[in-house]
Amino acid sequence: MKKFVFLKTGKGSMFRLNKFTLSLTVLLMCFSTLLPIASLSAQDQKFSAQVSQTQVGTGEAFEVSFSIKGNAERFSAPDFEGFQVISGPNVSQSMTSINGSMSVSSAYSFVLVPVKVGTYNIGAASVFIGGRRYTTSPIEIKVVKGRPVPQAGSGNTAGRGNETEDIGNERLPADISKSLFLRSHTSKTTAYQGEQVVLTYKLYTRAGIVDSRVDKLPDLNGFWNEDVKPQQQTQWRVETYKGLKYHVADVKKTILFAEHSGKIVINPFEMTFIVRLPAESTGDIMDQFFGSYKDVKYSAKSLPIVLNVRPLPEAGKPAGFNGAVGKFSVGASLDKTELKANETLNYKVKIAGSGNLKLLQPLNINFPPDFEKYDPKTNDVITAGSASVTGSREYAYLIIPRHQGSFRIDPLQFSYFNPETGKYVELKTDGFNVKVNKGLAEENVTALSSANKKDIKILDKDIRYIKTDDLKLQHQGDQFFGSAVHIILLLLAPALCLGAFILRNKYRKDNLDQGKIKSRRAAKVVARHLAAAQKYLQQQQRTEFYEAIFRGLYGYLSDKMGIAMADLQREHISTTLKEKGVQGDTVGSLLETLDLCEMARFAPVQVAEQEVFEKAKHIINQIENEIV
Amino acid sequence: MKLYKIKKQLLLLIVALLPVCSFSNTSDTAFAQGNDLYAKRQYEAALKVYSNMISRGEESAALYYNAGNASFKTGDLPSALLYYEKAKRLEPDDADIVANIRFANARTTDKIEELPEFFLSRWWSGLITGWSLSSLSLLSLVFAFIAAGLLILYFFAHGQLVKRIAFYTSLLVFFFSLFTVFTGTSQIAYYSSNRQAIIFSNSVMVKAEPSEKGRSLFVIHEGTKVTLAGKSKNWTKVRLGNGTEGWMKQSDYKII
Repeated sequence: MKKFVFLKTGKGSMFRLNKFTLSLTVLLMCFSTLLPIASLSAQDQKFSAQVSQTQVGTGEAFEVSFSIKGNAERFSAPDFEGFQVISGPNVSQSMTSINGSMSVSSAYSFVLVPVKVGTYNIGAASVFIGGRRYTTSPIEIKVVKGRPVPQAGSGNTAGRGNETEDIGNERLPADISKSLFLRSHTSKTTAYQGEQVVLTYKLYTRAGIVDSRVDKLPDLNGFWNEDVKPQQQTQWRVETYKGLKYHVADVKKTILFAEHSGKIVINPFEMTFIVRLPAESTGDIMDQFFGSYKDVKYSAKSLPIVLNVRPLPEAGKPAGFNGAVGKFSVGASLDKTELKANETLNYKVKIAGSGNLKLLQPLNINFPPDFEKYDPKTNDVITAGSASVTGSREYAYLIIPRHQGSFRIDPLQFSYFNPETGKYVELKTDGFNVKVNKGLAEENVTALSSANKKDIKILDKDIRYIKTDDLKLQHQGDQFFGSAVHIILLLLAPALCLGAFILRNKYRKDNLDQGKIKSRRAAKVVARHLAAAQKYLQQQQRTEFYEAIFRGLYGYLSDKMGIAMADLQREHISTTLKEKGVQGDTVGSLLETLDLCEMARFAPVQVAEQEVFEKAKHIINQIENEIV
Repeated sequence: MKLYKIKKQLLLLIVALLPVCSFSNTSDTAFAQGNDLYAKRQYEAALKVYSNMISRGEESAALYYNAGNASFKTGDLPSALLYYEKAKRLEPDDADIVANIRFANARTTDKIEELPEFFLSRWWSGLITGWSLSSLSLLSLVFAFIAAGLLILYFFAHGQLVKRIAFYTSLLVFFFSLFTVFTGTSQIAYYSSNRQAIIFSNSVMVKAEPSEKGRSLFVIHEGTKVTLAGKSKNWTKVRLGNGTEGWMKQSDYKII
């Protein structure tokens, strides 16, 4: 908006105004006389495109502006193919009031940077003015090899304060990009994964800034970031950049920790400013004297930057490394070393230093298994300074010894990577001996919490291993089951039973007939008597000898015939033996011998004892043979 | 000739009775050699040793099982399953064999839902196929002789209690013996009427009739176990676990 500057005080204000409008009116009148002649060209003048340069070097910014006279509607910008738009569209409007009649003009401007060498066309832009469509003619731009594409600036905040003389306000909007730009800056271009890098968004300006707004901050994918608390007041300083002095302010500072290795791009950040520029000089004295200015809306964008992130070296990586990068110290403390069972114990580990403290993975502390352990409380005291993140992280473990005894808490191994030296550093805390005395309610507590148990992890499945023994080879098709041998063996068992059954029955039948047994045993009995008789014979005891023979024979007959000895009569003996088929001779000599023996017991007889003995034996043999 | 056969069967009995192998030493060393090769992960060579032994007419659960393992490791799934199934016939209650059959079956293409069998018939087939024939024959003999011994004890014992116990126990054990014989015979009958086979062709079109021109009913893949249900020239009627039936060529499967 073009504004008229009124003197705030003083009587001459009206006069000055009148004079100013007068000069404009004269000017317009001159134009109006020309109008009928140049009625065709008036169209062109209503909408035109200008470039600040037609020949530019790569990386050099130039401005394209489209100026419109009248109430413009639906402005559409051409394709800036081959160029990078670093700012725009920047719209400026001016209104002129001449004796109450207003005329409006506006301009759309873009700041472009060519990327490649060549010839490019800036196409036609179009706009509607009063319902008619106007287009501009394309402009040819020759791009020559220039300086490398500069990092266009980033920045914020307007500060007008102590402008030194040599940083004057630029006059032309075309040069806003040169006098006001944004830059992102990292403290390092190459960093280790997890190493802290300070990212600063800087604003470079030579122009006066009325207002500013941050439009977009990069989302910083691939980083864990910690914002540095901004200072209360923006600190301005003077910096020389590419030979020019600028007012520089840090818009924002962030400390980055790369989460993975590789090239990570930090996207541009964008801001919008209202820049106060001096109004284009109309050559009017009053203008020059009082200075008129216009406020232009201008958006700026920084260039993306790339951070090269290196992975942590694998060589020498300690076993318990938990991702700490920076410079740390570690300490452990225990609140008591002697206590009763089931009382609580506080074990604290404090890691202090500068680095990615917040990204530390939980520590792995081996408490004695009899101790009940709870998840630690983490307490962070972390401040993000202007150059680094420093502070401490404290892990507080609550542990409860459940049983009496002496225990030891092993020293904790802590390791970190020092990016300055490029080496891993291993630290060790103190170990503690804990004496646990007998507690009060020891019995009801389980020693091992089941939370420590883990299912067996199945890594893979495979078939079971081969059998290495137990090779019971046989011929294929051979089947013992149902074979002849099998059947024979099976039948053998009942056959055995049957045999045993028959044998048993025969035995039982024999045993049932007691007389038979006696008769069978008779010969044995008599033999015993005869043997006794023989003994007496040798000892010349005649009476006893005959006694033995007599008893032997009687006993034999009694057994054999099944008659009691008392009932044994001579006649009875004779008939019974004859019935049983014993021959008469044998019976006769038997009776004869019996008589002899009976007699000899009481009176001497003229018979040799030896003869009697032989005879008795003979008779028994005869009966045994003949009896049925 | 007959005498020779009886002699052979006696030998078999000895083999069944003694766990120690009475086979020639060459078989033992061949088996050990195969196992060594397997341990060195030379599965092809190990398989060759095992299959040589099998082609010589020897068989045992361990041999079939190892051959199955070697086949599995060389990637020949249907052969592995065939060997495993053969091993299972010889030792149905071996946990390793059952586990590996299950593992190998998980790798086959076809997922066949087994038809829910009536619980009695399931019990029945489980009962008659749960013991190997050699164990059954051994058991039958052991039971028979124990029963005979107890009966003889009954015949000759004097005490009434001893006699009574011996008699009833003998009866029971004798019944056991009969039962094992019965189970064995049922098993033989079961396997001869339910002959099973493993599909060896990569994919087989099962036809509606025993002819190439027949309509294709479904496709089955290598490793699937089928039951042979009928025959017509060189076509066989097969039944899947889910009850579907169809005809396929003899060359597509191998009988267990």
